[in-house]
Amino acid sequence: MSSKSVTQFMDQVIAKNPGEKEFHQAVHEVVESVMPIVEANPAYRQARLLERMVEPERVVMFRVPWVDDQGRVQVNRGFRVEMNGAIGPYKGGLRFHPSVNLGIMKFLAFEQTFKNSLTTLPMGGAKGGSDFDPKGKSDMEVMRFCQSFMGELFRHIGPDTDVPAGDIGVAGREIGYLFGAYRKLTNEFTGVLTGKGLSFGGSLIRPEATGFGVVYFAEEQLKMRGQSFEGKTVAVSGFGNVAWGTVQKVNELGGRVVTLSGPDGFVHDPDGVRGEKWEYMLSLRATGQDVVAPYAEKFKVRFFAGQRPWSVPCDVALPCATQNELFEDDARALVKNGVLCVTEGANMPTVPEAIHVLQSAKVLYAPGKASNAGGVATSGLEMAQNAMHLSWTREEVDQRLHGIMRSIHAACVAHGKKGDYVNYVDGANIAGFIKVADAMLAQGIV
Amino acid sequence: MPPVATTPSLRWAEPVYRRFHDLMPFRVREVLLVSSAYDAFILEEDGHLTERLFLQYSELNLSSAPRITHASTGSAALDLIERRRFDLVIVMPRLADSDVFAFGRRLKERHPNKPLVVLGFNDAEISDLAERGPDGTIDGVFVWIGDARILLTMIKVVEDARNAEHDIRNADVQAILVVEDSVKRYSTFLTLLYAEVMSQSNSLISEGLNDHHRLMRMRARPKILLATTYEEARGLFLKHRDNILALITDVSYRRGGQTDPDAGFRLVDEVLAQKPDTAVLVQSSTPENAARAALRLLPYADKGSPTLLARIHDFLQESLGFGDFVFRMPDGRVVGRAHDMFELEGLIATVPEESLYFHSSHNHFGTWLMARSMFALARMLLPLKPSDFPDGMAGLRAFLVRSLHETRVNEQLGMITDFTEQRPDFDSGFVRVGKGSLGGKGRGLAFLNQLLTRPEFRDGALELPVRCPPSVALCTTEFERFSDQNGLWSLRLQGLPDDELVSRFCQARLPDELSERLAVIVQRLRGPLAVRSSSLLEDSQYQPFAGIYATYMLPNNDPDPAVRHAELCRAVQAVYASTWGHNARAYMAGTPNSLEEERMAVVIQQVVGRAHGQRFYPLLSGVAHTHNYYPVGSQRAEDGLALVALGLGHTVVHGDTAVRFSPASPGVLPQFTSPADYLKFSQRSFLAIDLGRPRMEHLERPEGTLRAFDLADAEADGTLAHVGSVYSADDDAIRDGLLWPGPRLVTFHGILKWGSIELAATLRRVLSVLRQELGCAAEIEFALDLDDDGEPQLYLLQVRPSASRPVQGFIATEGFPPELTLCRTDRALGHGVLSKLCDVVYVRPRALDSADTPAVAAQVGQLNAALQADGAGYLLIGPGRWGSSDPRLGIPVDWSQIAGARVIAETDFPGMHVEPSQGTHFFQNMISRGIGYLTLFHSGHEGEPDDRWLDLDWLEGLPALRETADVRHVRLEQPLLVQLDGQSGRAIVLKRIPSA
Repeated sequence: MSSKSVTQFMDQVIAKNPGEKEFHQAVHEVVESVMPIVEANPAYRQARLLERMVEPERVVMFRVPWVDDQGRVQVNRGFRVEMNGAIGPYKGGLRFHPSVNLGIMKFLAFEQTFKNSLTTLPMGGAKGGSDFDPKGKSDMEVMRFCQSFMGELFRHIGPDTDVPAGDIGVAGREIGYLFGAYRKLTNEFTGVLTGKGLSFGGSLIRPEATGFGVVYFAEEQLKMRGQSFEGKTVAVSGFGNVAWGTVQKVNELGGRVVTLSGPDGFVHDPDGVRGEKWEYMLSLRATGQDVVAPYAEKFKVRFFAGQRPWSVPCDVALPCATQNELFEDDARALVKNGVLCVTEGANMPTVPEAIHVLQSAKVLYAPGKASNAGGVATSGLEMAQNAMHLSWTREEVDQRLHGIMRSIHAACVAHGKKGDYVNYVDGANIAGFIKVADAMLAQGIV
Repeated sequence: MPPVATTPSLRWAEPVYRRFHDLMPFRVREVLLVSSAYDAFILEEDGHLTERLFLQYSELNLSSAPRITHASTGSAALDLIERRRFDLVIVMPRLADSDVFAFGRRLKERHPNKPLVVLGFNDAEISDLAERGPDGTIDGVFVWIGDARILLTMIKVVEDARNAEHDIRNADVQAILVVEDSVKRYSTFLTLLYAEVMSQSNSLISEGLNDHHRLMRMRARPKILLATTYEEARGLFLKHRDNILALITDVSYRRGGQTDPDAGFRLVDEVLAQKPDTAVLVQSSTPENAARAALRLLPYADKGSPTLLARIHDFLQESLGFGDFVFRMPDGRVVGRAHDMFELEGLIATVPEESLYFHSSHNHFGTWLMARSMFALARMLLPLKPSDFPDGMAGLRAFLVRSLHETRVNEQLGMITDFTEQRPDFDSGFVRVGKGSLGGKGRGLAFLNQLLTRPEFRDGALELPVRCPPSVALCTTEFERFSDQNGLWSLRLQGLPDDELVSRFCQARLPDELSERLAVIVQRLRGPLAVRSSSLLEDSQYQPFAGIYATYMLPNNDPDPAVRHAELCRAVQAVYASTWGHNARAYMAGTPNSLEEERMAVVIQQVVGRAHGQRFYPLLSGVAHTHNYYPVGSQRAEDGLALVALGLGHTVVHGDTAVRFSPASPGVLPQFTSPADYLKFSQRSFLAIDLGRPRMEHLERPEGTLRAFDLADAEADGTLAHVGSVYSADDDAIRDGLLWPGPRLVTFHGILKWGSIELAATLRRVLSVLRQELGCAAEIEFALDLDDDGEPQLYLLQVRPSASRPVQGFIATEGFPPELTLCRTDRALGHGVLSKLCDVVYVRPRALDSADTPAVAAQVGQLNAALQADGAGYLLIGPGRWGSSDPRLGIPVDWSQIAGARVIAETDFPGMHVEPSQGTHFFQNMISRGIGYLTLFHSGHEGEPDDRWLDLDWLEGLPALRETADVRHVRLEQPLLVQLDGQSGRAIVLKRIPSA
């Protein structure tokens, strides 16, 4: 790899985008991985793909005035950064948060491009939002804001153009208001937003999708070693949506989840979380409780206060809790206990030192950007259902999700396999990049 | 006549007894007696005038007796009148320098409104006056009857004449019209009549609810109007027809300028033709008139009879409703006797229909009630007949019972009534047992009860009806007596453990009188009871003491009254024990008070709510403050703050899962921004009284009867439907109501966002009134439940001034020299003064990258842990948002990493503008723990100046006790002085406490 090339390239990016530190960082991470490919491919260089990729295809910045409950006029700023539409309509969430600015939007849109590409679905990359803060606002104020926001955004989006979704500060309520406004303005009922409510075009299994996707991906990883989930012991961390879907799917595939964790510690249930226990955890999870100690008390299993579950011998480790929860010593313990694969359900739960330990030990390690793409994939499935004017059953959605995760895995393997080991990090980065690059190349200088 | 269903409620119809305060605006306090020295001597010798007058006033429970001043000549009297105020001038005919008429003219020239009455020793002395009749100079003529009571009579006649119109118009007071032309006769008769009326009224006022009530009732006694001619009598009758209770008339007196031997009967005919229910007594000294009266079926009295007084007494009792109400059958058999309204209500419900018909068709109930100043109720009953009701007697009976009950309840509203075994009803209001202070809670409750009688709190005036639950206060004298009797004072300062203290108090014996009263109370106050402390020093201004003393919640449902009585006694004793318990001792040490000053009253309050199987709880409980020290977003501090929870209020007071809202903007719930916030922070269980607990076990500790129940139980009870929502995982959204499957949440959306119950608007009005009436910030505890018809009712349980200001009265945040100031801001949240913080933890000022902030968070956590181990609170200073989950926005600590901070200050994040930490869980923790919060970075809005400053260099120059790569902990030799003014939003932190 030419570090000089990376440095030179980054100098240009920084000069052209001063002060956008997050964008610089995101670009640097991608460029560092893909520069060897670019340098090895003169067509990419000639077409100046990297230079084009880091430049958004379109940035829309607009005024969003609205009136609060006291009758006072408020003014916020709206953004939509349509980064790259080479492989499909732009796709990315909307974020309502006071920190939103152009730099953050560009960085998120840039990352989204490759994340979406990895899903193998035809989705480009975009991100949008506003510096509006929903905290402390009434329902009506949020509604008025959303209507004003959509009053401009509707000109730039559409089911075949740009399909926003939710993100920080944009949940079901906001999606509903935005969709209602769009429908009013365009007199069309189309799949212009994902994350919609079930009653107006949303997709089933959305909450579980990420967890299901993690397990499907891990299943493919196990197949690389001629294995399956049947009879496997699985350590899961976390207790939210991702973990819940993960546990459910592991059980379906014949595995046995022996740990669950929360901020208070972890429980070790050698018999596995299933049946009545899974229902108990389901009820606790459904109430948002992030503590696992009650499980230990009820089912008379051991509870380890303040500890992480990675010391428990397992075949598969699925960190689904949070960022930075699997450290170097955890990785060493997993390796020592013979873990076959570590597949991330959360975003960046494994610290770089731990990744290094796993990869050095030839443990199949899958980064979240590949393995937790189930949620993003389901957005794509929602778009597909809307386009067909159909609502699939849970089983249908699940089946298609399964297919997508297999495709993602295959893409990672295609680009990350070296010998009998697959570097999924490289594979994910390259797979995502190449698809976009090839599409851009094919479409000429646009 | 309208049927029962449309008869207006009497809830506010009866003149509240306080209106009686304005009755009798004219009262004689100073009397000038103008007579020769000899006449004055006779009066004094014969009648012991002054002394007798004093005694009469005392015996009749009247206000202080008038003072009598003597002038021996007319000119001396006139001279005295110029120099002093006199309310009544009594002149005797034999004046040395004037005759009565001349004196009267001269008096009236200067003082036309001053009453002048002539008192003669015999008829001969006043014959001229009687002949001459009233001419505007003389207001009355009386003859000395050898009895000083004539003086009281003269005074009362003058007062009644002056006050009648006012009292009748303003309070519907009744009047007795007396017609008699013989001065001697009426002098005697009126004396007897007044004595009887006053005595009867005096006996009735024993039914008064408290001393003040009794006194006010006296003022509403029937007035006596005197007429000496037919025309005068007729004129008075026509003027006050609706209020003429009775006519007592002679038979022969002047009519048309001539003596008419039938004038009295003519007058009676005319009066009865216009007002048939007027009680009439004919009196005469002519025997033939007795037969004539009998022919007309009129009561008769012989003026010359030695039993005239007895006859008047009987007349007043029978015809004017004085004395007990005697229930009779049509044949005269007595079937019941009611001494007061409470007994009347009870007997009306049970007496035979024939008796009920007999009395109602003769308007006996109305007459009886008139005598007790129940004018509005009496008027409503007077014209009613059984035929007015569709279901006849049953309807009449129900209507009478309801009306009496409502009136009785209404009269008690707002009053502190003295407990009596004879009338142990607690349908409304506040009952006091014993003497002494009511204590803090008791005072607050009594004030609330009184406040609710105001027009702005009447039904229909507010969005919700507002009530106070029935309560009984055991005053501090009961505690003192209990402690005296059992020698408990010595335990005060022994510092015994709480359980031993409770044990000693419970082994002691309650005074018999108190125990007996508690037995009555527990019978009358049905349903669960809260036995609460109400200490002398509790809830005083600036001294909250909230939560220091015990509260016991009794199910009060054992079928054996003896058990319930024992439980109540035990709870009272346990509350008494808490006066000197550990919490009290510890808290008292931090106040200017001493344990020895403390005395304990107890409030026994009916718990608001209803039983759902074995669970008893209200739909919601809450607290509300007139001032919000942590306004978020568009909330304004002066709009106040309310917190509500499903079930009993302990969830609100002790926990942090209550829903917080500003009554001015209830639809805004800053603590819940996303569905995840609802899942994480909303109430997941609720507290109720467990009605199934075994006897006495629950009294082992306060609140031992409370149990937490699941939301599934609330849903089964039907209560969750009013306050609950559902989380839709598929839509990642909150659905209001319970129509959908999914996890149940307590959100109060139906009430706060959709207005299904107008709680916010009502609270807003209540808080507004309280702020004004208390003259300071205040907080209330309240509960809301649905009545049998499903209609919501709001109950106020307690009010107390907020301990929002220090004893000094204000918090200074300005005027300090810069060199003494560590930081200051015009954007602070919280309120109070901290003067013991010696530790400061701050993030060193350097440009931080988002990649660095997690590490900084870990360092802060490390230092926090060390400080918590030291047991020290500290001031935390750092950039950006504290607790932000986004590392780009600040230091992503979780609460456990900064739990020891007492004040948190946010500074600029280099290179980035951020909003202050008003996020959900983090901010929620901060609010619920009362942690001060300072914004020290500049808003960045052009044209918006702010006053924010931080002297970080000073901290950098101090040696660090502990230090990491990015965070320093310095320990100061002298504590900081932190002053937060929640009213203005300003705060200042001084480097040391300034010297005075």
